[in-house]
Amino acid sequence: MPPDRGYRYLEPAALARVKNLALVARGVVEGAISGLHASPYKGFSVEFAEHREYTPGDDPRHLDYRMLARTDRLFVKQYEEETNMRVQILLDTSGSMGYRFEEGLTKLQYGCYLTAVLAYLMTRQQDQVGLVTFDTQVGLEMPARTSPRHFGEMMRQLEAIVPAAETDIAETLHRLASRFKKRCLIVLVSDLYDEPDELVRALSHFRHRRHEVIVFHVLDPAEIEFPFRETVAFQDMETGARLQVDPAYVRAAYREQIEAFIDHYRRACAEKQIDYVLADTRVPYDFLLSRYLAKRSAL
Amino acid sequence: MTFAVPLFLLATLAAAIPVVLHLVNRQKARQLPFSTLRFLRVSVQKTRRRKQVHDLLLLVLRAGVLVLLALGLARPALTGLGTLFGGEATAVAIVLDNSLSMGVRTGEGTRFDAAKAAAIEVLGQMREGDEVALFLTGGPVFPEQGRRDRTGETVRQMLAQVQVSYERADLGAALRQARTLLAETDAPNRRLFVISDMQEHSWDTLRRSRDAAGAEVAEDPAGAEIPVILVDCHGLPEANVAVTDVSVEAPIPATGLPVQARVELTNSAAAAQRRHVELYVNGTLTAASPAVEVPPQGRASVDLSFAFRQGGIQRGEVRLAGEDGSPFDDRRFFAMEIDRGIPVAVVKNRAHEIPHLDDTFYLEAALDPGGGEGWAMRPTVFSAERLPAEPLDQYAVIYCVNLAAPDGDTAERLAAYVAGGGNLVWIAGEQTDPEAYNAMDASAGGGLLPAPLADARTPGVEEGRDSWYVAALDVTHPALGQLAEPASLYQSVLVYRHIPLEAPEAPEIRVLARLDNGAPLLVQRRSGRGTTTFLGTSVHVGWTNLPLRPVFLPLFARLTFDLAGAEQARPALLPGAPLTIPFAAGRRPASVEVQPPDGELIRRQVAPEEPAFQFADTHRIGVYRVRLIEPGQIRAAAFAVNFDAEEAGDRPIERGALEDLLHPAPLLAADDPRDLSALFTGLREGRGLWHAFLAAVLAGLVLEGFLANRFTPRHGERGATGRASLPHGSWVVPLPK
Repeated sequence: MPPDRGYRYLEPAALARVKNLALVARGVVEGAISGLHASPYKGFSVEFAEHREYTPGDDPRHLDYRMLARTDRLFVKQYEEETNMRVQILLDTSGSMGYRFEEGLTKLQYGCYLTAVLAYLMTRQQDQVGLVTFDTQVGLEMPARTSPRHFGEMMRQLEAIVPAAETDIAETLHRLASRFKKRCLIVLVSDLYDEPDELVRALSHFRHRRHEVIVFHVLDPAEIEFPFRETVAFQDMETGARLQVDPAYVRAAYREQIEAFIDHYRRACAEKQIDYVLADTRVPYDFLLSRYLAKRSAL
Repeated sequence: MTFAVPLFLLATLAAAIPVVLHLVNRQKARQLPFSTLRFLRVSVQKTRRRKQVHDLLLLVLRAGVLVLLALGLARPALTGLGTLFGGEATAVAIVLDNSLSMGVRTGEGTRFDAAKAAAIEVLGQMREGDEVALFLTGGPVFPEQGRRDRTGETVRQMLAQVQVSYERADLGAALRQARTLLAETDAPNRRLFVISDMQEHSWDTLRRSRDAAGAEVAEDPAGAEIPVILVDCHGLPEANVAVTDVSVEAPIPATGLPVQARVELTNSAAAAQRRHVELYVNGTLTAASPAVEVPPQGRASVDLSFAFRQGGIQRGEVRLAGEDGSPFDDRRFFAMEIDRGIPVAVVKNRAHEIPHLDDTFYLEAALDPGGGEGWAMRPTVFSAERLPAEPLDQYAVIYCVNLAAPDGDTAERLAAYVAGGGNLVWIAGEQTDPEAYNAMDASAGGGLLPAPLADARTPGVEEGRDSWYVAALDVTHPALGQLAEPASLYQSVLVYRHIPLEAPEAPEIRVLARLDNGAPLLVQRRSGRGTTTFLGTSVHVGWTNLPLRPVFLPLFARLTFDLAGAEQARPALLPGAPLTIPFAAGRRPASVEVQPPDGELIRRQVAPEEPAFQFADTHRIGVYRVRLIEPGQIRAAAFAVNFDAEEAGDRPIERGALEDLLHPAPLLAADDPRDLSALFTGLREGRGLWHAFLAAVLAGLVLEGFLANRFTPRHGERGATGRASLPHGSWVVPLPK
């Protein structure tokens, strides 16, 4: 399904790199139509699942005559039903997502590109894709659908997103987790600047409700490496607070902090069986995505 | 501390620059938006204390560097000594060392030349209102010495005349005098120059006085704080060998007899030296040594043998041949009185017609073996009849040979002779009646015989022998020591008859010889100021073979020399030390003549109450002849004056030890006496410190660079952080190539 018109966050070159990839659900998902993903509902498709004793009313076409011959009892064959997937992309639009150090994309722009490509891939493989943007509360909320029109609307909405002020990711995720009834794939695109323990509990909430979760932790390289030299008065992009810093002195301590921060999420996600992807905005998003998807499909 | 360019002190305000820069930079910090400050706040909290310490240290260091730079440019100087001859009036005392060691050549002249030039340079700094005084450590005393001179002209004249003396320097004494003088002046500034080669021994008296008084400068607290300026003239001395000792041994100081002089040479150079030694007697070269090698910084001895050709007082001189670093220590003198003949009286009973049968035949031969001039003894032989009238005092020794006991008057005369210092020797013979002798001794008060006499003895038949032999000599007696070996020398003496003495054990009685039967044969006793000696056998062959034995002549010669005291050593003096001759009771001379080495005769009348003669002008080395002129008699003596051997050494005092000695006086030193310009500049402007300040600035800059580099963490350092250590196992995507 090539885009019928040019969208800002949908670059043909990037699409060309990822078009042959598929994002496949690792567990089962509850879809409405047949698709790539395993459904929890057993039906009569091509993949054999198990035998069940015949009961009156069953379609006699599914009787297994070989079993009848061997056991002299009537069994019907049951098959795995392949279904489509419901994907909810949660995009953090807080103020900190608007950060970029030098030339390049802001973290929010990077997240938008990721969202657009993922939505494209999902839509192309007949999955339902929804989009939720949030800062301190939920902003845009598009339900999961699979139509091209829905996809086009999503792209237009992405282009209109601007970074907001502060953020409260954990609380927002808790609210969303309560709202999503059917099992689906949750893709969180955020810099995760919140209390890590709270945020991990919010992600666990999704897992508790048997959603599969992928976290794209978007960070600017300057946030990781802290390359500043001269004394700088930093201004918090969310709160506006200022702090004068001699980077040479605090660099080591800062790196220690950010590393511990990242490591905390990595370990917590691993424990909760959540895919954690550190997205350095220096890395082209299509490259990042193609590598991730390739590795994921190989598992 | 003063500053030559004080305007630069304003530049110390530059110390505020780092503070101002710090504040300006703080306000000018670039503002940048950042995603979140949560990690930065924690990081700043963690590093704040370290950064504050580093910042403070660097701030202080940078401000300090600027202050030091400003101070250095202001040309600071230490001015603890104030100014010399400038501004206010200054009193200066110059202690000039003119001891013997100052005569050493140091290349461009002697140390003393340099010292005088330095003193003249000091005079050249005088201004109107200043005053100066000169103190010398030795030599003849100038009338103006140690007096304040307002023009410096008198001191200049003294400097033109003063020469190196042969005396030992006593800088402590000179310093004390100079301090006393300066303490009495009203001048606001007072300076004390010590111009010397700084030999360690020159400070001995000061060291002793300080040791005695502990750390206090007890003797002159008023002048102890006066700054002392040391001008060291030691320089690099040329190689020098000195004659540091001469000892002359004359067992019999008589003409024609061998005399040995032991000469000690001291080399103060770092290399061995070879020198020849010459010995002069009365100006005539009498002996010379082959080349003597003296080890570096060491000593060597050489023996010279010679004989005096004439009697009387002899002037001896040991001289080093050739030249070396100092001519002042190449000579050493000695004086000896060589007897023309010791006056000896030989009193006999009567003359025999056949000479060799005479009682005194062998004794006369022993006392005057040559029979004429040139021998050390002059015996006079006369009969006992002359004894009552003979002036006994003119004889040093009187031998009474085989005499009948003298009558009472004669015995009294003899007793008076002994009591007055005479030496009486009794020799036994046929005429010797022990009983009469004992009676005579008793009538004279017991001072004529060393011990009571017993009856004469001859070996009896019952003893189975016809003689005794001399079994023992008192070899500790100075007259007999050299006769001890071989023993046969005296053991071959046989005695056929003798008069034993009943010698008791007493400290004043010495038994000089015993026979093999234990009987004392030769006994001596001190009596009054003289001695009395008794030989229990004869000096003729009738009673003994003694006159025929080889020991006979040396025995009586040595006994005579010993009794006459002819070997008495002549005292030696140091230059400058007064020569003192005490007068014996009742023998005060009317006048005294002194002939110093330069030959100029000095005569002085002796006052009736003077207990001794003193002569202070002994500044020259050499032999001083003295004649004590008494009525009807002239007694002559001679004294050698030689330099102190320590002056010939070369041991400069350590600067630290000197500072301790002169404490609490501030010290300033000039090591080159030929160029005192730096010293005077230092005195006027103080000791320059600007170079030290600038050196401190350089050190501060280096330290600042080092600390700044060390304190500032590397920009690219990652340590335990950064991408390289990002968590494994997460979906970390590397950058595309």
